[in-house]
Amino acid sequence: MIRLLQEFLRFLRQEKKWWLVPLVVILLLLGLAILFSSSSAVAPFLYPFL
Amino acid sequence: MSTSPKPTTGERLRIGASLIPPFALLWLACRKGWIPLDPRGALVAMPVVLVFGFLLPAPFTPWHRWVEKAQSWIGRRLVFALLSLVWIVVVLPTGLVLRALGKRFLDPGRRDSYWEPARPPSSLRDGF
Amino acid sequence: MRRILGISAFYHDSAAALLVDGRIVAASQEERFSRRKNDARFPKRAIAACLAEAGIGVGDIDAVVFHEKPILKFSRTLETFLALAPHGMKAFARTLPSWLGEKLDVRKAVASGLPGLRPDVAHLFTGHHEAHAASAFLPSPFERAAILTVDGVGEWATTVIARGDGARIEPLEELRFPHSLGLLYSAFTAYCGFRVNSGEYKLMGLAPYGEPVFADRIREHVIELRPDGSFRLDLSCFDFLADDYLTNDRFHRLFGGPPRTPEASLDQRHMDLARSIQSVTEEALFGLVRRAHERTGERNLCLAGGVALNCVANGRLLREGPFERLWIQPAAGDAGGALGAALAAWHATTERGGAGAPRSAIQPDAMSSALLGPAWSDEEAAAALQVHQARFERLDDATLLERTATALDSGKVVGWVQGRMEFGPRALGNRSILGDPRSPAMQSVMNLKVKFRESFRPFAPVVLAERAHEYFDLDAASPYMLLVAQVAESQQRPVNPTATGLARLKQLRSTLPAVTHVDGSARIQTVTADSNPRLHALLSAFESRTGCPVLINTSFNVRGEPVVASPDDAYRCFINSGIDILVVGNLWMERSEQPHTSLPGTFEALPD
Repeated sequence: MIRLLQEFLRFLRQEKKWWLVPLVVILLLLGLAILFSSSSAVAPFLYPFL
Repeated sequence: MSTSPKPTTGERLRIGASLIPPFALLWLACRKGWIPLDPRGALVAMPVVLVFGFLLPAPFTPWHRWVEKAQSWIGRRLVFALLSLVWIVVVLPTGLVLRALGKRFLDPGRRDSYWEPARPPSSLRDGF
Repeated sequence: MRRILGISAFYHDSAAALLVDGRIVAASQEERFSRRKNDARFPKRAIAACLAEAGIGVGDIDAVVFHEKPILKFSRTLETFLALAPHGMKAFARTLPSWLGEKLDVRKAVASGLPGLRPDVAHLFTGHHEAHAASAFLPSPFERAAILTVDGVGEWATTVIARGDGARIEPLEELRFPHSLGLLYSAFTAYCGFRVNSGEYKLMGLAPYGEPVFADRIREHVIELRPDGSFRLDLSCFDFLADDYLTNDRFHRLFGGPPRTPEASLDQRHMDLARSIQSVTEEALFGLVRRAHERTGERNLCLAGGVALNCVANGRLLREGPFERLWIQPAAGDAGGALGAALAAWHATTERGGAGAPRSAIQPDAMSSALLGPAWSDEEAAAALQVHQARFERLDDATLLERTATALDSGKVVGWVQGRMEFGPRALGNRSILGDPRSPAMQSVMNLKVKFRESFRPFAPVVLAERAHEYFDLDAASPYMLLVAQVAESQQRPVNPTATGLARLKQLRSTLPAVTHVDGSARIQTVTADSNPRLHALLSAFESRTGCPVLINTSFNVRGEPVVASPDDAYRCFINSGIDILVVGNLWMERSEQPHTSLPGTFEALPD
């Protein structure tokens, strides 16, 4: 996910699409959170909170 | 009985964990005083049932499946709400500002030709 | 980089293709194995089939090439939402979760879908239209050619003109999303009550029943065609956020009512709409092709992208267009992107991350007649059939051909499963249902009793290439059933011209009524002894018996089912449909002798 974010930022810099930066950063962090919460290692301990 | 394969360690852990939510609710209810019991009892019960489910997963498998379904139902709604929030906080203002600045992503406006120079081929190693 | 796996996935028609030292070893669509039509999931079964064909494992793959640039496509999606604000909140929240998963992080999706990949495997990405262009030009018989790719949308491009020379493909210019001929055709497909991404064929088949009465309205209000071949859609007619249709109320008012629901009856208006959009699409395609000719000055044209499956338009391009020769990728849709991606990586320069291989054109092309899927031996087939206690006989080649030709001549419908499965949407005689084209009743028998589909849909003829000119006005080879031409005048019969709509279906309009569409056209497949020796031999046997070198060839499946892959799929489909005879390799089965009258299907039926 971090590699993807880096690649995405490289793309945005190349294309000078600065307006996408906040959206992309937030979405990828959100994606990371979703991924983190559903990955098998922590999922059991998040049961009580969902 | 179905002859499902033996659950893996991770699955057993999750089956055990699926027994926790009722006790979490019980703990909450005791703390709020809705149920006249010591909340610490429910708190202690949580790791106990976790271990219990881990050691003896078979009878709790259907319950675990039901909890998993409920969890994914809640998860989907949570993601939907979060993304709606992202849309309100980021997409809407960015979109409106860009529009006010005259940026048109989709409509080139009326022109004699709509041909654009092709994107030069980029490195195959990049996802863009 | 010797073994290159190309993949297309996550939208519709996922597929895999495998190159070994530049040779196309295998290619298959996932739907054939998963038995879910237009399956878009990661093509793990198709990949397994490709690897098995080459006799290699996942660890032998040197590069995995995806047919799109996911970051570019995602950024286009985001920019579309920015442009649509203040609308689109719900669509945003509904669409994004799939992006945050496998669609964006393709490297991860590939790694988790293909356990056993070497850590040093190269993960590569071509552009969507780059993959289409590569699939159109690199396997073509031309050393140099103009390339035109037209589809719904990839990243931003919807239409690209390029020039191919040797191994090099140079993109010249493009039209961008949402201005797309593919999306326009799909919008009308959905509006007429057919499923987007698969019902486009039906709309094309419906067109000859109607008149182009809406064509002017489409040109005036929906698509603006420029003299230089470029075009722009009027976005006030479309709703890209809607769940079910791509069109909005303004569009519906323009064309006289709300969209047709799939169950509703087809009336003259729908036929007129089909004819109108077909006519505008052909006009737009001609503009694009003329532009490609002007920009490149080439004599040959290569086509790919979903719109290149519009064989009616292709036939016209060949007859009336500015190019001398035309080659169309048989898997022109997104499935072909898997093959294009692998080929692009093999020939791309090493600076770009490719293998930098040179290319010399192969005659008649490098596609091995599109027979790139798996094959089953007679022994394997027999084992699969014995599971069902099927009654079959094993015949030698001569007896098999003779018996099959006799059965076809007596009006029997034959399921014909031979050798390697086809790659691409058309069955080309290895997973086919065959019938007698001279029979006036055969079209309706095959539509209603065998394939359980709409009565208006035409069937395609397969003909011995050496005798094609006697039956059809076609002077080029059409090995992939991608060209429509008129039935030759000598074969046509006069009909009452006052009949309209579906009443025209019953008219006897040629000596080959079952494969002659209501406008006197046919979607032709020509077969040579080199391209498909087995099918050529069967056509020859039928010809020597009847004098007719033509058969009906339709895909071996029923409505909503992917084309059959294995002998097991074929047997189930045979039992559950109205097919009279099943031939698998040299095994001969008759319906009346089978112990079953029905068997559970293995496919997930989709409304089509």
